[in-house]
Amino acid sequence: MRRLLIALVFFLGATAHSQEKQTKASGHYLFAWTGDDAKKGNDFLAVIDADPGSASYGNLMTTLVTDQPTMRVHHTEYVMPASGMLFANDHDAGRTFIFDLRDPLHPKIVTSFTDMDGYMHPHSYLRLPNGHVLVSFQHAHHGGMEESMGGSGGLVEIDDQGKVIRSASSADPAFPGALLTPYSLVVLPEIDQVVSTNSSMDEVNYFSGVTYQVWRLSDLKLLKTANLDIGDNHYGHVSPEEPRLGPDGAVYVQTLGCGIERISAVDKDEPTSKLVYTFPGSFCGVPTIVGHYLVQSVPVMHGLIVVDISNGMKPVEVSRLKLSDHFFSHWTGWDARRTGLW
Amino acid sequence: MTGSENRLYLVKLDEATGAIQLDMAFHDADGKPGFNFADREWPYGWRGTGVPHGVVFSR
Repeated sequence: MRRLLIALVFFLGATAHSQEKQTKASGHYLFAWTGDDAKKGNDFLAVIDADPGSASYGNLMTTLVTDQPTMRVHHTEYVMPASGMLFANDHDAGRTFIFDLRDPLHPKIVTSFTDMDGYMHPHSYLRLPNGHVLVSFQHAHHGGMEESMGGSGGLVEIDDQGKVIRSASSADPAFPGALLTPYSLVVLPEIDQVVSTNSSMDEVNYFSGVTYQVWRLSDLKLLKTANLDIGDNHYGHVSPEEPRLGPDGAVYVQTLGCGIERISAVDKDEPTSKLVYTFPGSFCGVPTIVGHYLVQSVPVMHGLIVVDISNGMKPVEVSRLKLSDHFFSHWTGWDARRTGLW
Repeated sequence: MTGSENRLYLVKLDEATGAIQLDMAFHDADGKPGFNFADREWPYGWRGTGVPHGVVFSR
């Protein structure tokens, strides 16, 4: 139920980056990209006080409403970029907003966009070393050969003003009929590569994606499409969504089937995936890796499970937290600014 | 609300052990842990229940 989303946010110990000075650092805030539950109103950004030393900690500070009627309010970037320009989409509207959040209490809309360079339905946003955003688009306008396939989209590099820099298709004639709709990605500049996942936002194809793709970052050339490892349970590999770089250099991919696929040797000709763990249930959501811990939202237990991935081939559960009897956990995010035990 | 709550929680992670716990100090005017998106008056003039998805901290 990707449309039913509740946020979980983590305080994590990490060192603030030097780029912090590029934003106006006054107070500490959460930006919650929000839609109208009744789908009668518009999408808006809620700004919440996240400074534990503040008397208004946890209180709403301001909002910024858009002109977009809520269809399916969806992804933002996973962490605040150094520029303070945040991308966020209403997925079913196929529209992305770019917010200027350098002055958190006075957020502004820079621009918005829909289709870009022949691609539509933007989904996830990852920053490149040059500060631009590499965006996964679920679908492509062009037909031809791809019409006989399970569907394809592409990756598009966009700057903070919403200008297209370059793009590339996820279509791969070596995988006829495969669902190749990019969902999310991880950027690996040290090895000049990008790893993306293919999973659909269309309900009829929720469980049709079973592949990942490796791209060369420097020219966005698609290097390889590969099937994920099918584990003993025959479902943990289904619908790969969020790839994250692990502490061992491997890429860990959360799936809607609640598996963790570990992709190793990404920089080699033959990267290998292995289903290394399966959480209970299905519809697991956005994970976060902190050090050697992977934190996973697990809807069936209405909370979170943390696994230790020190041995990436054999993750071990170290803790879990149930939040209520009904909570459908989905999004996790992290706070790079606060340190220590939180 | 069906199947969930219109609420955003903050969770503390012990980086040494991987233990997690709810941040009870993070709460809205209702006093319950987390931020309540249900049936409230929003600053821009709309009253209703919000559904949050992507959430990001400031730097």
